[in-house]
Amino acid sequence: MLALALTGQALIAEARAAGPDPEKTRELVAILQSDASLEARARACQQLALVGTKEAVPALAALLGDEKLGYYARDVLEVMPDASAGDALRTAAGTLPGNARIGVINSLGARRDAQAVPLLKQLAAGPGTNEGALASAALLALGRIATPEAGRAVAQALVRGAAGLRPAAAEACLLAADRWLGEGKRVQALAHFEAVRGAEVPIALRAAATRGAILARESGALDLLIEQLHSPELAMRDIALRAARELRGANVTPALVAELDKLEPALQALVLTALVDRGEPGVLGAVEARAATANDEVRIAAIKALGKIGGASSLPILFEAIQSSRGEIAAAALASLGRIPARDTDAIILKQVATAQSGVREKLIGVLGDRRAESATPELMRLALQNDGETSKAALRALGVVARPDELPQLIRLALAVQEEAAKTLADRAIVTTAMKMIEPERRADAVLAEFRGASDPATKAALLRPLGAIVRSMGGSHEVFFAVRAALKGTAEPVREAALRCLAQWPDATPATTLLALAANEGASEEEREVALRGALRMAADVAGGREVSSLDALECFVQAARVVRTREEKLMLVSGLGSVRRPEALRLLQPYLEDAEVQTEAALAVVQIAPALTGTRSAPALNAALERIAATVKDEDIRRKAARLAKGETAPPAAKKKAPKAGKRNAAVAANANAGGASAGRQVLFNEKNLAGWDGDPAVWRVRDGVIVGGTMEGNPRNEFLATKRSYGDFVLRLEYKLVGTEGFVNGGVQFRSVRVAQPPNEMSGYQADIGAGHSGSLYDESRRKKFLARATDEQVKRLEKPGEWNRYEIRCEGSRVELTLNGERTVVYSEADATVARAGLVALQIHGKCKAEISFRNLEIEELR
Amino acid sequence: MNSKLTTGPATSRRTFLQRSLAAGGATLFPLIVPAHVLGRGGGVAPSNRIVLGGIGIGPRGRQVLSSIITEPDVRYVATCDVQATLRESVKALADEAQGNKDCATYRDFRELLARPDIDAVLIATGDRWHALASIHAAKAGKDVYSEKPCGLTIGQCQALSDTIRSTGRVFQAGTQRRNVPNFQFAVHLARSGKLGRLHTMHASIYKLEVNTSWLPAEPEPPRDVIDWDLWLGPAPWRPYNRSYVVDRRWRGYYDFDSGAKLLDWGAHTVDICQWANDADNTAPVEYRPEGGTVYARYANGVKLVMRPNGWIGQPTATNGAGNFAVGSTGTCPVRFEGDEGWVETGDNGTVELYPAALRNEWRAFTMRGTDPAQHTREFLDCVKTRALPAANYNVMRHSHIACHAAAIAWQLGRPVTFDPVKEEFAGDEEANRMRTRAMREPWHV
Repeated sequence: MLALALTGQALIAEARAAGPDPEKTRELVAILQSDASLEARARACQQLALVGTKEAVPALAALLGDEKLGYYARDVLEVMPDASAGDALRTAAGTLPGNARIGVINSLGARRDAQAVPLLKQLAAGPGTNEGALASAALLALGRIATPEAGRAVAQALVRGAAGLRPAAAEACLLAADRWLGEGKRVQALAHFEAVRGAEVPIALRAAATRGAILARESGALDLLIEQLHSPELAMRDIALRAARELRGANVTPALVAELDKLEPALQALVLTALVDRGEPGVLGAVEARAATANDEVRIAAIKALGKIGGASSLPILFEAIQSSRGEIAAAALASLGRIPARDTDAIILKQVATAQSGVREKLIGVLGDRRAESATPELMRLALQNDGETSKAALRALGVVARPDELPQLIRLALAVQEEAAKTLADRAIVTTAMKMIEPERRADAVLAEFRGASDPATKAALLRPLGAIVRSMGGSHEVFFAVRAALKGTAEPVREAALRCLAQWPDATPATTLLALAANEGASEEEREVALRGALRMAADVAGGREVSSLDALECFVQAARVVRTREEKLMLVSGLGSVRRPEALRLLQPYLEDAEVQTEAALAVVQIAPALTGTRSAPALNAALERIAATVKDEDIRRKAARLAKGETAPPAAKKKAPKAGKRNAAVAANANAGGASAGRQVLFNEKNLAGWDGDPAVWRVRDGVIVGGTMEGNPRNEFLATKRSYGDFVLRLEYKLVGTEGFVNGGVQFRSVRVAQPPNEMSGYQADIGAGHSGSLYDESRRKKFLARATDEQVKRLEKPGEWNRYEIRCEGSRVELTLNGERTVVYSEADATVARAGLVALQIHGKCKAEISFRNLEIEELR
Repeated sequence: MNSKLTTGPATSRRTFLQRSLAAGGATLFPLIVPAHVLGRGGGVAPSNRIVLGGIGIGPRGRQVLSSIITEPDVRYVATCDVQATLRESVKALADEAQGNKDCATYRDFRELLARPDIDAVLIATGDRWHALASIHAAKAGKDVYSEKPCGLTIGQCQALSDTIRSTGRVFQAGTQRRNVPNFQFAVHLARSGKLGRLHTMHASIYKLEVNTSWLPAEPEPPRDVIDWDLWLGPAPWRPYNRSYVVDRRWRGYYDFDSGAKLLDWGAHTVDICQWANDADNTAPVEYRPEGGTVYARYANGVKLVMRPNGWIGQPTATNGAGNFAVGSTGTCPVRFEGDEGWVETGDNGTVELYPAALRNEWRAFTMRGTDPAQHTREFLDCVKTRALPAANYNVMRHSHIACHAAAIAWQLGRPVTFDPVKEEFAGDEEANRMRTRAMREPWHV
């Protein structure tokens, strides 16, 4: 039995055998003849349309008169090649009533059933028609069948038939004639086209016939075409313009060119355009003449045409035209200069630039940009340095288009040399657009960064920070640039420091947040510096807290630090609105004082209301309730008051949302997300998704993802120890990872913390076990910030033999109860048993880059398997 | 039947040019309409103003209409829909935009087409109507902008293309990416040899699907609220359910949608590939389905891979690069690969390419691939000049037929061979039967 509702490929899959299938046909016919539902029988027909054999014809024929299923049966018969399908349709065409009969006639036409011609002729002429609909259908079927006999019948109907049937007869004549024209039967086709042309039928049909006649005529085609150009009827002129593009023959183009002057301007412009579309030679002279002097309408068409077909001789005409006082003419000429295919155009325009007057010169320079004239770059750079401000600006605009990335050094020097402020902005923009042409996103800042590093003059350094910042904003962040700009903050020159700070404050991601906060807290900072830095940091923290950015930045910690230095109302607003996204008890504590602060009371209240649902039922609930009650009693905004009152009464989120809250559920979701990200097998979790630092905490100014690898520290120098820690703790586990440590100066070292905690002071440090890396200590177990000593060591011989310095090495860390094992590149280096029962048996995993070195550490393939 | 609900006066390029040249001809409309009466666009001479009507203007139709109606040389005077709410809301939109009450409403598109003042129509009905409405419009002497897919079967696309050609009308298929700069740029790289010898093209398509079920029957609303018979039009009869009409949930149904949904995007992306391969007069000759993908090959050896959204470019061994994020170029991505480079682009304007030197010709592309503004502007210009627009009947014919052939191969679940000249499958009766489907009486192409 065939299924009723089929989706996907099933339509055919059930009848996969190529071509008609007798067995399927029998099954489907049985459905047709059963008392199955309408839908089932309609489906059976649609399948028969694809696989039905002639055995299905009688059953289908019986359905043709059915009001609902008649169409479906006809659909099969229309496409079934077997002659018996045609027989059945012809029989039905003689007997069925109304629309069903019209449908059958349409199908006979679609089949181009020559045997139906006598019957269709009768129907086309016969009495008792359904307001002509039946006769019209018969005529159109005859036109489609287009045998000689059918052709005669429709032509006769056009001449002698009822007036009401004339449009249908004309359509039928056109159908037949178009077919014949396509088959090369021009004489036959022409007779029918001419018949329609001379008939009293709607002009759209006469226009179509006229087109056909022009194309079918052996001689006199061109005369007919030109005659139509002069027709008083728009439809005929339109059809002539179409035929002017379609008619082939060597004499057509010259004849149309010769005709131009006899046409009124609007039409002349249109014929000129058609001549260009013909794409034949012998037109340029006529176009150039009209582009130089003519009625405006013709002239504009000619000028536009030069953009497509113009040659060297056209350039002077266009140079002249761009100076026209008529805006439309000048604009058309500029557009054509921008695309004219003439040889050496760029060089000729450049020459013209040298002598052109101010005003025209800038336009021509713009054209060089439109033309992507790369060869013009040196001259454009020279022009950019000219005293004339407008010329300079036009050249800089054009350079933004034509300069190549390999020309960035010259462009940068140019930008440093221009004086005027507006020109400087354009020069910076040219640098940015040129840099953005580089295919490798991470290299887009390279050229400007190299100049920035190489520059010693503070003014130069400060100037370069503008395009550098713009590129970083366009490319979406770069740690390499960040490190360089951060270093510039420590410079002595005031303008450099200020530019660097602004650059960092506008950074496209949260990387500089901690740097900016430190600056904002620095007592030596000016008020302006404090303000710029703090606002930048608060924006970044709010983006991370609000989920608009994935970052390892601890947004709450940022807000804590920011809260110590906020001063103005605007800063407070940024702080409290950002805290509204931090659904933690600490956020509530930070918000509490602002509930008393008239300047931001409302916003602070709103933030409390936002985080309240996450805090109900936690240890902060009493404090929360006190805050909510206070809000409900004091805040001006009625909506917030109402919400606070409701929350205070314990009416929180709907029950469905509450169910999601249990911790275990969250953890499972996190594990699932990790598993999805890395596709690890059950029991193993991927700790790093190779895209971002989701699931990790650390300073994004130190830790980042590069090419799918975690990277910490910089070759420009690491001031202090930094850790990137997991957000959850692990007890017994096997941790596998690969590391690579490269460095040049200082104590080149890093490590992997486990069963560890962050310490309060200094906040960058951690305490706990460390699997050490580098400086000769790889493979050894160190106790960081706690006992501050090696608990067990790999031998020097082992380290020398096992570790590949500066390359990828594999580490395996196994913790089970009191036992800790380290394995480096497949060989166990440490087995340690913890004797001190007070030492924590669970804690964070964290990656370290050591301070006081110029080094970079990388980690990849981090995977943890929890035991038990 | 009389469903002409309201009418308004109109002065068009048609009536104006007609009279200004016909000596002593009968005047149907007042000769000169003062500029201030015309409201917006009053500065454009009547001889340059195009009078437009719309048929089946839904969400996509409104996007297209809003890019047309803001042109100074257009007047939108008539709107037709089988749903009363839609014809009224489109009228309100048009009247608001034009500062008058001139937009007439129709239930039956044939009455709209009978208006002599209308130059051109915008057709944005459901797919089942596109070809037939376009053919009627062309025969009535109107130029046509039709949303894609323009024909539900190969046969409909042939009939549409033939009718447009023989009536000499201007036809623009709503495959607007031909007039979106980043797609033009990618095609330019392919056609100018900058990628070396083109060998493989990728066109994103919808997930292929055919649904043949019927929704439960519901009582038919009054004809002047929703005309179900006219909604179905040439499509097979089935019982009324408001979901098809009011919620526009007709996509994916075998009776209402084209080519197993392949044309929903394929009409755009395959079209762009045809262009890149300089294949606007032909179509691939072999089609091989594999899962949700169809692999096709042109006679010139170039391969065309059609596969669903979520499409990721596959860098070839020769390019040595090309690690970019899924969907980095947006929806409707296409990708062209040559032996010296590749390019990929999509609706958000991003262009990914290799080698980097190709980027010298690049500039920032800000226009979105779904924006029809340049495409509709080109159509209006061609209505005046009678030139062929970018997505003309011939371009539409071959790219749509390529899509249909691919969809037929997928529906058959086996490879097929196609003759692009005869436009038939070589010795393959089953596939050839799928080229056409009957139209419900009394409709025919």
